[in-house]
Amino acid sequence: MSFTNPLLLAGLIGALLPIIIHLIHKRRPREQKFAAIELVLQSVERVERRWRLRRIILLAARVLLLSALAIAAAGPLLGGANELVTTSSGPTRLAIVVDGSMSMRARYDGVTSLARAVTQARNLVDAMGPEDQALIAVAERRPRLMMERPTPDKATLYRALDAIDASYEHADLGEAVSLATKALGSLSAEEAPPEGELPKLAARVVVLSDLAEPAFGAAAELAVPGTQSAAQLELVDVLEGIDREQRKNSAITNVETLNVPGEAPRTVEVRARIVSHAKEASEGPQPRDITLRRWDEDLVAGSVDVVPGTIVDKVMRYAFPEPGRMPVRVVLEADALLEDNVRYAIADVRRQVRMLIVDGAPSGVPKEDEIFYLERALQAGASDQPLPRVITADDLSRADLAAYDVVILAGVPAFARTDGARLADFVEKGGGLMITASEDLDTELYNAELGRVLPRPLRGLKVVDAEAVGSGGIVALANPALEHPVMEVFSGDALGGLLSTRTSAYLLLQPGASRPMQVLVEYDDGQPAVVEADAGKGRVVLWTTSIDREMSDFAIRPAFVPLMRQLVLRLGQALGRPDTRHTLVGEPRTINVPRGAMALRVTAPDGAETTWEQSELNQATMRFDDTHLPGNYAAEVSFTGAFEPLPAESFVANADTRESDLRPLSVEEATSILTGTSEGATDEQISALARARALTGAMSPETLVGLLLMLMVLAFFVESMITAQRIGR
Amino acid sequence: MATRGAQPEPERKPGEIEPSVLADIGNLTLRARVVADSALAGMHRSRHHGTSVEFAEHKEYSPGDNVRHLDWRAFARFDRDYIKRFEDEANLRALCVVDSSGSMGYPQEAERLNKLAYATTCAGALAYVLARQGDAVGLATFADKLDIRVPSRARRGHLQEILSVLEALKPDGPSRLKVALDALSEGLTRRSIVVIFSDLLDGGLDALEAIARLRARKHDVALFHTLDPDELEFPFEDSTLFVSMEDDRNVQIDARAIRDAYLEEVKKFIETAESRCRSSRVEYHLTRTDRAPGKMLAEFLSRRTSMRSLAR
Repeated sequence: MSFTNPLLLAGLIGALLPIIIHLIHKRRPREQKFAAIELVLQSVERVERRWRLRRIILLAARVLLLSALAIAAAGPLLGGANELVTTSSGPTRLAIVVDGSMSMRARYDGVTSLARAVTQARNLVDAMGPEDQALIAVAERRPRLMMERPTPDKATLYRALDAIDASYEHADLGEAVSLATKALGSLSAEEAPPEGELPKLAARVVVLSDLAEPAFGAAAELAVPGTQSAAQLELVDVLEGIDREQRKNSAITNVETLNVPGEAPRTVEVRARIVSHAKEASEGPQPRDITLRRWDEDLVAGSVDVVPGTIVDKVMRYAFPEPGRMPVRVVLEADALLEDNVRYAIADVRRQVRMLIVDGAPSGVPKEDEIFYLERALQAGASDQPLPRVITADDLSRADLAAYDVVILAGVPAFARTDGARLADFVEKGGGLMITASEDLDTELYNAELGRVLPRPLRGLKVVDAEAVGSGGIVALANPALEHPVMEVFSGDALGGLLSTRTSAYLLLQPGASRPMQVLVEYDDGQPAVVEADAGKGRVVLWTTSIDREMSDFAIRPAFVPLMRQLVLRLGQALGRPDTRHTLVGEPRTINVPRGAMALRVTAPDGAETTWEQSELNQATMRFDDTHLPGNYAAEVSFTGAFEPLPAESFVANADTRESDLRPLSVEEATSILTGTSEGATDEQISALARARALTGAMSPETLVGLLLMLMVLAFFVESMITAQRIGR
Repeated sequence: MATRGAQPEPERKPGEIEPSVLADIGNLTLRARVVADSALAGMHRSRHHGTSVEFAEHKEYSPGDNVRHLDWRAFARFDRDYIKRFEDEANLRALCVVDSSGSMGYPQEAERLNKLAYATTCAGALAYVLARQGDAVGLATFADKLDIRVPSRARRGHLQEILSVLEALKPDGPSRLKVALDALSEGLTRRSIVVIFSDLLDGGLDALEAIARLRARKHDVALFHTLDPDELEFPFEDSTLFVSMEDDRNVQIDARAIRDAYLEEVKKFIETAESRCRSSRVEYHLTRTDRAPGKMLAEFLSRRTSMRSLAR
């Protein structure tokens, strides 16, 4: 035991008062000659034993009362400072490693595991002797030290403890212990030994954790660098005494959002995966409330039957009123760990693409119409999209292009020159334009009027030479750019349906890289088949062959329907590329910088803003590190000075659900993992563990003073009882 | 400091003399006489004559006299009827036994009658009454042994001798009532009324066997168990050093702490004494020294008179 104010122990002298009073009282009896001395002696004999015991109790109560008062005033710090002294040959260096992983956010009886750990850490600091030093480390995704080197200053240690907050991250305690051990060897200039001499240290590392299994992965390095010593590892289960049944936990580990074709427009399917961390089949299914929310609005409320020890998927569908990237979250009914009952996601609600198809070769015979196959491909199972409007080239000049998202020039040989400029403007303002070839396409007109938006100037039609060796008069498709959003649908067997397309004629493009373009697929003779290029805010896709059977049989190939749909959605900026980048709290996020951006800003869930100015935006991507909270991170871009939303780069960060499994290891198992001993903890370690438990379980000064006050009250009570009995005679 | 508990004022009849008043009367002879007078007040006074063989005088016959005592020789000589009367042997023989051990000196305060003073007053008054009736009365005092013995006689001047002895009596020495009574018993050949005044403290209960032996020798024994109110009520408080009045024993104690136990001991002590006396057919009187001795004596005499009349 040590004391905050040892001088106040002088108050213990006060405990002598009852003894002095007793002695004074004893020395001054009144003398009384009395005849019946025999009866008095018999009476004394009768009551002496009871009377003597009572007097001793009374004396002890008074002494206890005054002693307790003096000790309470002296600020006792129970918890084994003496033990520290006796177990080490000198001052101890203590590293307190607080588990700061997400599992420490779990609440039991209204108190978080972290709060318990901090309380016990304070007890350890309380118990430090005057020459002891300590440091505090926090186990997070990247373990960190709260101070560079051990310090004897308790106030600094208390402040550091108060500053600890549990993260939403997964932590490896082995790494944290290694870091703390390394820091224990950090000596100040005064402490540095003579050169060539390695000092000996009494080093201890006390880990305060809920012992949840995920935090124990690798063994820790316990040799203190620069010394001859190894740190003694002591693990403390801060949830000791908490029923293991309370440590069952369910978590949403993943949420996927998918646009659902064939449903109402803008319908998104949200699939949440719920994992129950409990002993398998210990109980039956437990219904849990689950809700899909956007901001504070409940979109879908339902229930899911969670079977302990199993994984279950819950599917919810919702038709959003507006398209766009919608941040949503799925919320599961609360349990001990609230943080993993919420999972954030972005629902990329597909917009409805308004299409204008300019039919280059209308025909009274449907199958001979240029767009016969195109129309059917776009209508197939596409109830979520509006029907395209079909016009002829002659009507193009009367069409209000602003009312459409995508214009398809389907084998249009020529158009009015004014329409060319309108189409180019349409594209540069954000519209999508698809051009398909026909045998009589006026390449000069196209180059002249649409040259500023075409991926390449058109050179002319190439008809595959039937005499060429091995060609047979046709070319097939090859080298699909599968990484492109449009082409992602072609995987596995589906790719065969695309590549087997037979084309007999196609448009040649001018060589040279006048502007960036991407070839989605090419002919097996190396010429581009489908190319894409951005133009202004819009995009152009050039299909170098026809979309009827005039120049290619692609229209009757299985790949035609999905490719057309994908291209239209792409041009209509409705093809949300699934964001496969799942960001966990604490992980960096790459932000793609739009071309021409003057500034970029990311706003965290708590409102904290990170802004990059133009001078910093010298790369195509920026790294955003401050993902410290789960939730929606809104990206904004400025092209002209005012920030506007940048939905494509907005993202969500989620808690690391590896920490959701709260089921604990035993102290011995955890120790064996950290020490790298498969046999489990040694006797010495177990002894150290017991001591650590005793230390951390020690009473706080407030509790101790409270107990002392209770003791005083008890002593008063006993004294009063005895006195009352005497007076009552 | 010892304090007296609030005691109810005893109800006094006119003529009863309080002990506190008696304490102011320094002369025992006067004190005894006052007590005797108060005890006899209202009682029918008559001389009783015995039937011993020791002739005292002649009395002219009057109707009602026992014709058995007619002196026929005097009738022959003087032709008149005379009745023969005999000496005191024919009347009561009494012996007052007074304990003068150190314990009888309690309390030592001048304004209160100590137990010895109370006992000598009672004994003197009793002797006075008996002497006035012509009964033979004697005195014995003892502490560790039988000290003084004044034989029982009925002659004139004998009373003064008894009163002088009582007057000079001082409390001193240890109490050995048993030894004294055994010695007394040896020398007491004629049947007598033995009236004992003692506090029976310090081994006094053992003396009850000797009292029983006196009774077994056909003596009529009465025991006045004389105790001070302090000894009965133990009104002491605080830490007190109790010192024996007969030897060097002492004990320091918180008086309040043992009060209950003491009262139990006293009760047991008195009950034992009374019980043993009853079983030995010894007349027992618990005598508080704050009680008027005249009243106590009157009750005793009245009881004796009643017993005698019953005997006739």
